[in-house]
Amino acid sequence: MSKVKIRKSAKEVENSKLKYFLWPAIIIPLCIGIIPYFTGIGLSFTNWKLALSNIRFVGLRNYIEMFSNPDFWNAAKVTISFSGLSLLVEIVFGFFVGWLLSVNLKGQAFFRSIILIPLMVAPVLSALMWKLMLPQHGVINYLLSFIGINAVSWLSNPHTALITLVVIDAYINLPFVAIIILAGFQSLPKEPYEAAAVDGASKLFIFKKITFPLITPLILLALIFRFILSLKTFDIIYATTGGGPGNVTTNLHLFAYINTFKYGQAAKSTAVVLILFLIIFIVSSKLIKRWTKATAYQK
Amino acid sequence: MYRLEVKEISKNFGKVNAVRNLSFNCKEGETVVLLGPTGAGKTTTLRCLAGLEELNSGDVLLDGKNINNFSPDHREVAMFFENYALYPHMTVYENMAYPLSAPNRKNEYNKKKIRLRVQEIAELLQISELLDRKPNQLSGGQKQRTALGRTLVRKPKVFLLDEPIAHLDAVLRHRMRGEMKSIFHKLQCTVVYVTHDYKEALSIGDKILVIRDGELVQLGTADEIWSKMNNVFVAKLVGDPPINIFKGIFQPGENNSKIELYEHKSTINFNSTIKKLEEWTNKKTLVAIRPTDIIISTVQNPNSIRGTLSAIEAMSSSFEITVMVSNNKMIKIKSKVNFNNLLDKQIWLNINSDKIHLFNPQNGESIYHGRSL
Amino acid sequence: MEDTISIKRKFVYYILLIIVAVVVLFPFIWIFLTSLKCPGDITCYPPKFIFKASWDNYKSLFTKSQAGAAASTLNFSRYYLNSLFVAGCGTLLSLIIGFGAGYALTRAKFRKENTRESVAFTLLSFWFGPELAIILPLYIFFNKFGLLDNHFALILAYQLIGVPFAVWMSRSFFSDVPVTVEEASRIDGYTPMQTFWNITFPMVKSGLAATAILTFIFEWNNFLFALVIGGRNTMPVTTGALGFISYEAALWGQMAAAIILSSVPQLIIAMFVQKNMVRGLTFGAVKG
Repeated sequence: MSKVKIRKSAKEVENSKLKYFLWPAIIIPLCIGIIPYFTGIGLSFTNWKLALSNIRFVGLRNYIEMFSNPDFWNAAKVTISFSGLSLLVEIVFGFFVGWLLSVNLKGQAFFRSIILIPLMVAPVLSALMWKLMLPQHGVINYLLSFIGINAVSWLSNPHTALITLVVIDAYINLPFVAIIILAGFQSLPKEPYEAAAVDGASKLFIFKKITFPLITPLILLALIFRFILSLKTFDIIYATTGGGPGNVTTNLHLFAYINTFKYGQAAKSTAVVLILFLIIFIVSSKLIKRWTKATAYQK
Repeated sequence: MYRLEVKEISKNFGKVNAVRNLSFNCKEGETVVLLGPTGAGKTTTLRCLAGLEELNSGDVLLDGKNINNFSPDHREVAMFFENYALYPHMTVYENMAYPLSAPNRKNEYNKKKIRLRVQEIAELLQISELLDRKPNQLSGGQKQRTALGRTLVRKPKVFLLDEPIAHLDAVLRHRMRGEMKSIFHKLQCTVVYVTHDYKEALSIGDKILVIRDGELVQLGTADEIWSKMNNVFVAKLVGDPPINIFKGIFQPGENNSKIELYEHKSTINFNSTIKKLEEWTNKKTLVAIRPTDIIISTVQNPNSIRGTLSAIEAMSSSFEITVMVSNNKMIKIKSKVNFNNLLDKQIWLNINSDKIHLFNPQNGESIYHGRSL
Repeated sequence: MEDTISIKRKFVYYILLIIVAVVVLFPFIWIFLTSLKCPGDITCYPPKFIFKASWDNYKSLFTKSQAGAAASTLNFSRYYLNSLFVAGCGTLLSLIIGFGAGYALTRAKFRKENTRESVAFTLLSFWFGPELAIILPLYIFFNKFGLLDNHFALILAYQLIGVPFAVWMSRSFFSDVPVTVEEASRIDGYTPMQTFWNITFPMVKSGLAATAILTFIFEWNNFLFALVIGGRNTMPVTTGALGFISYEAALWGQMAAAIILSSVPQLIIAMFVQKNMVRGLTFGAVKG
């Protein structure tokens, strides 16, 4: 016989009322986010073009065409090189800057607030600032001439455009890594170090066995965030090079945008974006699992 | 009519049965203590009484009225939390005034009455000078008294106290033990008090419930819990140093019964035959004796336990002596005499049959209590 | 770690820190200088560090008469107001929805514990997925209902940014409040709602303020949503700033002024959230 509860206890009623507050947070993203998302998935299997009213199901054709499209592979290559390089620069130098900011010096408060600036300004605007400084006769080339580097049109030269974008991206996002690492260093417990000092451990040993394991979760966290956000970079590329010159700086996200709004290939672009999402999802899940394991000891 | 009636309450969290069929009553002005080790379900029971946890079965009645479905704000109980749960953004005064300014109490207390009442309780607990401080400016003991003040400031039907003095230092704890009892008496409180410290339980409780794994093991007065424990669990729980337990075999005998402590090659003799223990003939029992009831002797005696006096600790009003006997077993004895001349020497322990407690080794239930207990 | 660092070491550290500070600040300083230059000074080479400064660029942002044919379509004050309106209303809505959900997610009891985390992570996925995956179909929807270039449609779309963030952040702060303190208030005679306002809310005030500020900054900084779903009427400063450079004219001076004006508010209010910055930027993963 099934258990039938005739009257709800006071606590259950309270709990239900509390859960009502969840609904808006579920419904609105549902309508604005999930439904369009699944619609997009469905549409990626059609021949949808912008301004096309007769939409037909075409199965996997878009995906197959995508994989045989050299522009797609170029965009994939750009995505990997751009994000790979940015991640490398941001994590390595971000770690260094984060550590630098953690040293106990007078006036650190000033430097620590300076580093926050690129995080607060809209990435698009920071990118435009750099665009202003980078032309052939811009101030950057002027300053570089002092150290013997010839003037280059950084953003319009196909050989330098991508690297320049990596620099701009690092400018905007390295502070993010830095303050996470800074927070990590600031919250290191004193006791292991005191014990190590008493035991007479060497500096290298201390770093390898104490500092590094404690900082690793934060490095991982910064890596996860940057990885996810870097793969879908759009603003700064669109604002500075628009994907060019040619398609030298066109990553997958931008590729999808251009394909949709310039060529009207909406379904194909959706397929591209979904593949991008899949990659992000798979890799970040693995990274997050790694991170959860690394922070398990804290519980 | 009882002020509080708890009828067969059960509470489980998934597969874990925290409280099982617990029942007890509380008269007005009575202090009932829930005593047990950590994880026994005492705090859960208290939370069920407060309405913070939902009962799986059973009833709670306050002055005869079933309050199972009442939310905490309608139950007319006050609770002291083990971690104090002070409101960190309010001063001590505001913390204590908060219960009195609850909307459903607006009629009872106006601003002036609140102030008088808070001051009255603050004075009782000697925290009057702290009223303007915030919790993060208080010491541990001061926080505890503030939390106590917040609990006592109302006039609820029942006070629920969860380990109120557990986290105080030893000196303060000792003092508060006495103070709490007089406070409860002065304010005529009906109290359900949770603790894991038997000393608190025995000194504060009118009625004590010993609880293990959510179940009631014994309900009794302090005297009954101390001398007439109905389970070896209770015997082990209550007493410092803990009660000594031996394994023995009962022999009915023709004139005198005796118990053979076979592991230590000694015997405890009764003055007569104990008829009611006949069913335990040749069966193993647990023999328990309090540290204060073992006598140390230098006279060899075939019935005594042979051992070596290995340590003496001086306590405030007695000596705690550790004696090592066969099988590397340590026996603890409490005595007013300092035996340090016998340190590391061989001695004999005498146990009087009038002071032993016998328990069933299978389920721990009590079989026999010595005559003089 | 070490309290006594050698003077030589300190010197090196300071040099490095100053280099970092200079690199971070230089673009801003240069943009600020540029915003004060006249067109001639901007494009000359070698670039001028000393010049005659004027507020003309700033003034021209707000007056209709601007140089060049393309300039007549630029309307900076409109962009600014759009940013304020959309980010402001968007933030308000996100906070209302997000805080309530965050509190419910922290305290409510679910029949299956999984539900709690599933909801939380689904919300998070809106931040981590490529926006275009949602925006392209959203573009069709809005197009069909004539909601493109509509302020309220944009505010609604911005909820995909604000709600997940507000939920995760407020959840982190609410979980710092011990349950026993709320329970004490219930026993003292207060309803759940009263308990929330009297006890919980004051305890998380600073955290919620930081959440509000960061939500506003994130919604203000958004580009892609505004680009696809917005239009001429709803253009915020992020997409509007691009209009200063086009095939017809490169109004560097005015763009510089626009960038400065669009960034300064964030920099000021960012100073108020320093304490909770790391927690904010990592969605509560790092308590900083």
